[in-house]
Amino acid sequence: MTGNEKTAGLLMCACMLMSSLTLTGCERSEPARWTPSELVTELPDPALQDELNKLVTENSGTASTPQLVTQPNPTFKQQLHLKHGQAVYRKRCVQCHGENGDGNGEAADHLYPRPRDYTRGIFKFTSTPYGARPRREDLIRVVHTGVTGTSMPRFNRLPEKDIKAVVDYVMVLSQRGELQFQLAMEADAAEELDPEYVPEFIEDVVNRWQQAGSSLTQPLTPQPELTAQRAALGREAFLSKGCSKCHGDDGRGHTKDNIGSDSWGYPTRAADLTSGMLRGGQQPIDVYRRIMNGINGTPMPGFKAAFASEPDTIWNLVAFVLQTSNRRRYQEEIPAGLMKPYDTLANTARAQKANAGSEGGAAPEG
Amino acid sequence: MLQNTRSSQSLRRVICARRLTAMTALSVLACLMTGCGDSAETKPAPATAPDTDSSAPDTSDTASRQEPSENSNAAATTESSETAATDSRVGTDIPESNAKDNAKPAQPAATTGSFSGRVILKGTPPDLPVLARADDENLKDKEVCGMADVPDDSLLVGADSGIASVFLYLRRAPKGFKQETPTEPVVLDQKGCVFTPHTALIQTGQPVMVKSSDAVQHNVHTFPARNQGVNILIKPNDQAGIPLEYARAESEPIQVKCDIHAWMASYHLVLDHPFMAVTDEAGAFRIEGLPVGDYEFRVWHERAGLLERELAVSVTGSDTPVELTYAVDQFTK
Repeated sequence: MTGNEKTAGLLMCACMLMSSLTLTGCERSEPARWTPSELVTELPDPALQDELNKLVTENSGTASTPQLVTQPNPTFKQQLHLKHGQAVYRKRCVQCHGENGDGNGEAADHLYPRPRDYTRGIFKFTSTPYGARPRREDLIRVVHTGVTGTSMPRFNRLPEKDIKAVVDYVMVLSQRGELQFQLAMEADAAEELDPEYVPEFIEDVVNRWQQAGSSLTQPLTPQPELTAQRAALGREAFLSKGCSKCHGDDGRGHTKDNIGSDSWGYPTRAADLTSGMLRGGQQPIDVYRRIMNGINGTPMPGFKAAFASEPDTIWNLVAFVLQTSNRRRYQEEIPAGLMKPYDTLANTARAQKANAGSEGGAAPEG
Repeated sequence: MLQNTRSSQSLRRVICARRLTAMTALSVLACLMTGCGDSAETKPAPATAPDTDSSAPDTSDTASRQEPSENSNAAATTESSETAATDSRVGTDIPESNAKDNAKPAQPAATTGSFSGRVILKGTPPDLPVLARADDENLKDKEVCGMADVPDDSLLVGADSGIASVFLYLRRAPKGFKQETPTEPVVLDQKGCVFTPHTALIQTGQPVMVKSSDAVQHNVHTFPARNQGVNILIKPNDQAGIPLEYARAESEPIQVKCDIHAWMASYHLVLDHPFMAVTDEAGAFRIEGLPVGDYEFRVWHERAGLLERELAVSVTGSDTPVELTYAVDQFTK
């Protein structure tokens, strides 16, 4: 390279730098910044807000020094890891999930279902019991596989390091949000934050997240072969054990009163199981856990206690749900939903018909 | 052209990398000129400096240093929302006291008294439509839920305008009070697609059994703020019951729902002490065994929310029943 070329190169560099900065800004132009939730800013007493924000910062750090409530005083290495997670999050997640992880990113209003709000500590698709926090592995898995049928893509091409870091950062946001929520509820109820009771709230967050690590739910019985026969038995259970009350007789959920609300305050419906898109995963164990534990934050209840005396029924239901979910894949035509109110007597009649071996279908009847 | 963009991109990347590592004078200038946030990010260096906070006090120090920026923002967006039930007290004949702390028994456990009275509605109660009509052909699980009309229990007004299902409670136990957790289980039944009882008083750690006397499935879905929520399917006619447990005291009664039959709702008040009551059909309540002293009671109703935040009550040896009167519009908002 001659001196002239060098100068030209440098000049060009300068030009490019100037233009790139003026036109697009640089990627790290805005430092990450967390803001208090609406529950906090709605507290009438500003001093109480300050006190609350201080407590949250003490336990979760700030956006420039994020830390897990469950892991106070992180080492330098842990801090770097979380900062890396933050960088990944701000590149790939923040658009929908928002800077605070409250599901209020720029795109959120245009998506259905809305992006998850982590700040209650509630995640839908976990391997833990209803109401429990997710295991780290559950979150890693969702990042890996995405959530079929929603706007959540799969990030399976990201390096493992990035996925782990971003999941840990999501856990920071979630724990921060949960602590903030709990303290805000207390501050609202008591109009103060009694130092005597504050440690209890921090302890609760820590306990819940730590317990989740060891509360993996296992099937009550080993997985049998999911045969057509089991699917038929599953269909019978589907109609008689309560599933059809929300999902409808045909599993499409097309009924007039299939409307509930979720823990985040949005309307939600029992899934159309014929869509072929089971959001919690298409593996038998995924479906099993949805039935056994229910789906966090939604009206879907856990059936573990109801099936304690007949645990194999859950596998039958899994077989039926998977069969129903795969109907479109086998080019089966799915009739439009029933849009018919419930009639349990008809359910029973149909169940008997199905039991007798005839392919009853789901024709509406009086 | 394509080539060109790609090369300019790579060039930019190279420059970015260079800027970050070498921080040439040019890039600093550019950053300052364009207001690139990099400088802003490097500024709070003391706070970002890793590894300094190895002890707890250190962390809090960091926190307080960083606080103002976030808080000023918070304060700016604050709206002074009016606190609930400030001027809701109508016609109470409770001796006014200066108690600020709701837990100051003069002589703990020396003598006890009681707090009793009635909650009364002022005005004509609204005519609430039934939640599930027995003659509704489209009623879900009609053969069970349609045995009789399901009335709206959310505002029950009984004899002499007494309001039922009003909770009165101390938010915190009196200081020095030792909780004796009852071992007697609280039973929550479901009959005719209605939760019975409609309200329950539960102490932390006390066993709760959820049963069903209906021939259809129900689900019991709790919405606590501090405890772990549950959502369990209950088998038809499950008389053995499913246990629930509440570990932490809640600050308000929590809702318990059945999502399958969306009209079904009941309310649980979970506290770590026994000083709570719920009014009966005539609106009457009574709390016994209160150590003598001054208290601040809360009064809560499912339609009205908090009716009283700091109802001053002075417990002496003798019990003078009180009458709490609330206007009907507090229940219809």
